[in-house]
Amino acid sequence: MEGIEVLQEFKILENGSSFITKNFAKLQIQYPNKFIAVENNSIIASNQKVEDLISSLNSMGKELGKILIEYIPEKGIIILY
Amino acid sequence: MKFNLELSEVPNSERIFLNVLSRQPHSFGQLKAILDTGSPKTIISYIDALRLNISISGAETGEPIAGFGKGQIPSKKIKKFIFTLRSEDSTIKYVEMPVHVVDISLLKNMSQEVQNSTMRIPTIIGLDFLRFTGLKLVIDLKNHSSFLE
Repeated sequence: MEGIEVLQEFKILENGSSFITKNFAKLQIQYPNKFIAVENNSIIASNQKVEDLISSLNSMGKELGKILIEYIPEKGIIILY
Repeated sequence: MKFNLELSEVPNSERIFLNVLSRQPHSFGQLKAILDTGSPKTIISYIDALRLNISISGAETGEPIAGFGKGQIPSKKIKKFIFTLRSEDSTIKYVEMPVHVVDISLLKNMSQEVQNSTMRIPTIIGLDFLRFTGLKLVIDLKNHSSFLE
């Protein structure tokens, strides 16, 4: 049972991650310097402050472990981590 | 066993991602991590520590983390953190290894500039992950392919 649940969660994760990667250039135009929250291949919230974004998601009753949050840098900057 | 990686080829944002699940008790959830061979250690980001409510109470103080950003980021070291990986043929692999986690409470005492730059850094899978799992990293940019095996 755990195995099936894990595989389903991987599918959701991989879809969300792929959505961000494939749309990254567009996201840089739409959400520069913001944190975005992704669920079911769509942006459900965004904010310049990650704490405020997480508060919004909590208010929406979202399960945070199943939502990806990513910072979107503005276009034209080389980001080194 | 082969574990596919996600290759982002957006100009100036080329990255290799490893999607894993945290199976740490009370902190189950998804992690989209950058595979970074320039990092000796695996580091759970500020966002993911906050999002998954990862408990660091009782964890030993980790070495501060420094990079290109300003200041040093405080961390805690969790000796046994549980990840799961999915192989190409959908086999689940559990990995239990030490990780560093950004210390959220100490970070809040630091300058706003350090806080802001730290919050933007994603979770990083470092060289210790490759050493610990024994997996080899293969990157073939010409053929848009990257995986662990």
